[in-house]
Amino acid sequence: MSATPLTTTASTARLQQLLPQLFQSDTQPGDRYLKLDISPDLSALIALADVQESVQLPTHMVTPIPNLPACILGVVNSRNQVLCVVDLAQVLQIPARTVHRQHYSIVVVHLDSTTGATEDANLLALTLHGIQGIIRLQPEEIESPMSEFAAELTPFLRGCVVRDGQSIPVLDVNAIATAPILNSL
Amino acid sequence: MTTTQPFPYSENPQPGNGKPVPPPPPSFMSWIKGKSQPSGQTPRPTPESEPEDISTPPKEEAVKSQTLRSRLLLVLLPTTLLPLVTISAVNYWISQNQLQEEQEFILEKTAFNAEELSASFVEELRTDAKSLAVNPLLQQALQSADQEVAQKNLTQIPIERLEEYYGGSKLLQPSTAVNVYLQNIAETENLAEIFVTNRDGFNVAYSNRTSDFVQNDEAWWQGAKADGFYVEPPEYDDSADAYVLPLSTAIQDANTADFAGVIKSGASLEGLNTALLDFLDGTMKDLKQVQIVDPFTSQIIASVSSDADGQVTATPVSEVVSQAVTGGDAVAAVAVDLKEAVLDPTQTPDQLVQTLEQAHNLKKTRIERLGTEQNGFIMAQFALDGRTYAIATIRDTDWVAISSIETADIRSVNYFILFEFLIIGALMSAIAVAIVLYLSRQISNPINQLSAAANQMASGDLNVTAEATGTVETRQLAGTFNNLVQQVKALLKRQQDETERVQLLAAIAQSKDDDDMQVPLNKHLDEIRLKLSADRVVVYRFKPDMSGYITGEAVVQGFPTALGDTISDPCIPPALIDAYKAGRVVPTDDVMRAGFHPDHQQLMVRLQIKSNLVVPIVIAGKLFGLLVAHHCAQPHAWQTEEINLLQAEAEQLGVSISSLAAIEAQTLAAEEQQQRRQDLEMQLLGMMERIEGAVEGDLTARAQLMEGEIGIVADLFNAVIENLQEIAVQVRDSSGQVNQSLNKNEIAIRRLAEKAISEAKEIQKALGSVQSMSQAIETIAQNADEASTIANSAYAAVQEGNQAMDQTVNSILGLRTTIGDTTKKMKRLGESAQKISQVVALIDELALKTNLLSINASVEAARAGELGEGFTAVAEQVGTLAEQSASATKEIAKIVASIQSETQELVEAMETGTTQVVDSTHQVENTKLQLTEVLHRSQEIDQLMRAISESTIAQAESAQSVTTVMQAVTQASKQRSLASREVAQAMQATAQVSQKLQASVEQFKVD
Repeated sequence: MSATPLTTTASTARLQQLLPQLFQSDTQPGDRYLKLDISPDLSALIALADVQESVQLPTHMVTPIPNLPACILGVVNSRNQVLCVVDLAQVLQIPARTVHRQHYSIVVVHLDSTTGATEDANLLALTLHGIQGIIRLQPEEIESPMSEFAAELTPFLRGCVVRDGQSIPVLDVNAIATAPILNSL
Repeated sequence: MTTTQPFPYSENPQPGNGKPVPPPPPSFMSWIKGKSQPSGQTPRPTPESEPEDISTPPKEEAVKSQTLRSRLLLVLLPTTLLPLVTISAVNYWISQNQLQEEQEFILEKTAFNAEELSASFVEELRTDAKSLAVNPLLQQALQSADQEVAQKNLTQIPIERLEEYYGGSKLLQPSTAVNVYLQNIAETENLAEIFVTNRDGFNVAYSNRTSDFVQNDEAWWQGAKADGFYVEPPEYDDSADAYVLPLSTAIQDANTADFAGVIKSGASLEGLNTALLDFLDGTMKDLKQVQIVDPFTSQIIASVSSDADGQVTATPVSEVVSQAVTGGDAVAAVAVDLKEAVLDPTQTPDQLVQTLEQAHNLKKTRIERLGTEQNGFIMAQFALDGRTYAIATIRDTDWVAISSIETADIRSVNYFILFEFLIIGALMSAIAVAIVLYLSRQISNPINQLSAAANQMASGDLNVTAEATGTVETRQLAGTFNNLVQQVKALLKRQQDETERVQLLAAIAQSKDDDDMQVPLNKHLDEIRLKLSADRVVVYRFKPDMSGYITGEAVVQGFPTALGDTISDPCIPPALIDAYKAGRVVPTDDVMRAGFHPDHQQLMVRLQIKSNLVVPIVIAGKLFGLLVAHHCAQPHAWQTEEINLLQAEAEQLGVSISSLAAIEAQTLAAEEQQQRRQDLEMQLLGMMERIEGAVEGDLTARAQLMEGEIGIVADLFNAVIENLQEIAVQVRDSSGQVNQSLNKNEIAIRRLAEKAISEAKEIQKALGSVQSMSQAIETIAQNADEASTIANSAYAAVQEGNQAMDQTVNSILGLRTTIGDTTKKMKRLGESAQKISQVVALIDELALKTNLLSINASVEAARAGELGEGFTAVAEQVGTLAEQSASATKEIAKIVASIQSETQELVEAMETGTTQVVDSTHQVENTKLQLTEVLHRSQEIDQLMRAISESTIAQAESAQSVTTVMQAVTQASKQRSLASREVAQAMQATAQVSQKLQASVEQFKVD
């Protein structure tokens, strides 16, 4: 908004360079996954098919509810639906640094009805450290989880992917929804 | 006369006929003087007839005639005659001027009157012609003539033909009625002829037949047509048998006022001449001539002259025409110029006077412009060739009026007046002289008599008396004079008596002894006796032993004489003598009853004395004698006046006799002195013999003591010799003592001399050391001077350092401000970085949101199924871009953070730099203060050095003075040694002298 005209022209020129690539329909093969940061140290992937939407909400929009586990932050109204907001890191029992935030980065996932969840509750809002973006993965790339991950994490894993020499876990949303912490009520 | 303008000449002034008393002219004075000359001699016979004058010598008379009488005449005659003469001269001068002015006035008036008359004459003629011109008869004739001319077109026909054609009647339309009318008019108006032409110059009507028919070629006709009026010179008219003045006047048409013709009329000149005569008869008085002249042709129009008797006559017309202009062409030329000047009103009279005087050699010119501006004329007056002229230009014509008179005629009047004044003046002067002569005689006669008496008295005749005549003053004077003569007579008598008395007293004073004095004394006593009316006066003289004798006597014949009687009057006691010395006076009215001593009474009886008055004669406090007055016939009561008189006489007698007494006393004193001198000589000789031995050295000799002055001298001598004796003894003793002590002292003095010499040597040594010290001090002074210069240069260097320090401080301060500025800029840079980081944060957020949106977009695209494939790709790419931009912003944030941290460091570094600069500034200031301290110190050092130098110089000076003192001491010690040597020598000499003294004292014989 406060960009000077010079930079505007520069960026326009650059856009013109990029535009052909942008509208090129080079459909890459593979399934799409959303890359997330559970904590500053740990990234994870979620299948995009499970993702309803990603949103940033101010903290005051989340209405806390008493007498609930600490991992359940509260409820939020999104698109005329009341969603339960869950801190993923706490669910996964990963030590997260309590950082005071003004916004929550939230990914809304929809769950399989098979899990026994109510119609209303087949959507779950997960708060994350950060949302990185979408990557495509070939099914072959997903390997079985190594021992390198913590034991607490294992129940929620679908597999792991090695990218840039780093292995990233692929999380199973339904598993998260059925996590004992949540269902201990 | 139509024009009546106010004009001074129209009044008839009365010239002063009542003339004042004609005063004598200036030349009358000489006549008076000539007359008064003999009047100085006329008084002579008068005093000769008086008796007093006969006795006076002729020389004195001459003196007298020069004094009072002539003085009276000299004063009175001029005081009466001078005003008379002055008044006469002034009167003469005034009346002369008046007369001359009157003459000139008459001259001008005449010219003016002539002008008025001529102008009115011409005017009248013109009026006549004009009244004729408007006559309907004539107008009608003119109109019909014009019609005739127009019908026959006469103007085109040559004149010769016309003359021939109208040769018969010489008229255009012969009309008897008009001609007769004209003839009538000519007769009544006394005109020679009159005729009328029409506008073309053809004759219309006439009184007499004319010579020509066509007149338009004539000058007068053309002049009248052009100017409306024309005057020709007079001419002789045969038909009228008279000189006429032809006048032509233009006729105006009654209706159109156009030029309708010309009337020509010939006026008789006789009329003008007669009118002039009538008019001027009153004003022309003396020899004068008045002419009316046409100056252009020098033709005389009219002329009037008066002869010597004042009879005014008009010159007959026939002569007038042939007469010449008075004054000739010169006057005519002046008149022409005046005529021309009339036409040029711009020329002022003064300018005109100047031009005329230059052009025609005129004198006493006076010019006046008169009349209205359109119809003006000029009055001019001037003198030319012995005549005085007045010219007036005549209006409407070419003429001028000239009146003239011989200038000599004016003067002749003056001579007559002069003569009158001379005669009257002479008469009055003669009367005044006669009155003055009579009065002076009346006054001077008594005084003359008085002065003659005075002269007589002065020549020694005191018996003269002055007669009391004349005025009160002279009577008083005569009385006073007579008194004066009486007083002088009395005075002379007294003087004579006094002289005799003084002579007698002088004779008494000069007498050497009693016998010498006897004769004058007796005479003098006789006088005293007469004064007192006594019978006898004697001088009784006391001898030294207080007995007395009569030394002078004056006695009335018949009474016994007392002269030569030695009256031993033992009854005059010393107390009485003292009383006489004190001035006792004894008046005895009757001696018989006074109770005198019987012997004394006997004497009185013998000398028949009845009353006596005794007065002492005292000379220089000593009683010389008595002055005694006697009455022998009968007793007499003495009055105070008589006593006083006798006392005064006694005093005078005493004064006269004093010299005699003095001479007698002198003789006595001289004899006594002689005796005493002889006694003294005798005593002196005796004393000399006694003390002769002392001369030889015998101090034992003594003078004999005796009474008197010589005794005192002898006593003194003895005392002197005794003293001498004592002195000789003392000298002898003391000279022996001196010799002894001299011998003792000699040795000590010699030692003293040696000591003085050694002292002198030591002092010389000390002098040498003092000199070397002085040199050392001088070196110190030089060194101190050098040190002072060094200190000075150090001072200069420090001052320079101080300045450099100042500059350093200034540059450091500049550096500090620069650093401050830089720090500020750095801080601003930090702030900018802060802003950048804020923007970067915003961009980061945007990138995050874009990422989220791209995810949501791909989710939504996935939901769309097959249709959303393309959109999914786009959303993915958007997400990638968002990721890239997020990472780029992160890098930017890093860079900005590094910039911020570096800036912070730089700011800190700057702050430390600033503090360091401040520190260094303080240090520099400290250094500067120290330098200033050094400066002060070096200054002090300089002052100290200078003080040292000055004090060393002072030291050197004092060392110098010590040296000089030492030198002086050396000199003194040398002198001292010399002196001690001299003392030694002197001691030896003294010893010798004392030995000699002892030897010479031995000579006195003491014992």
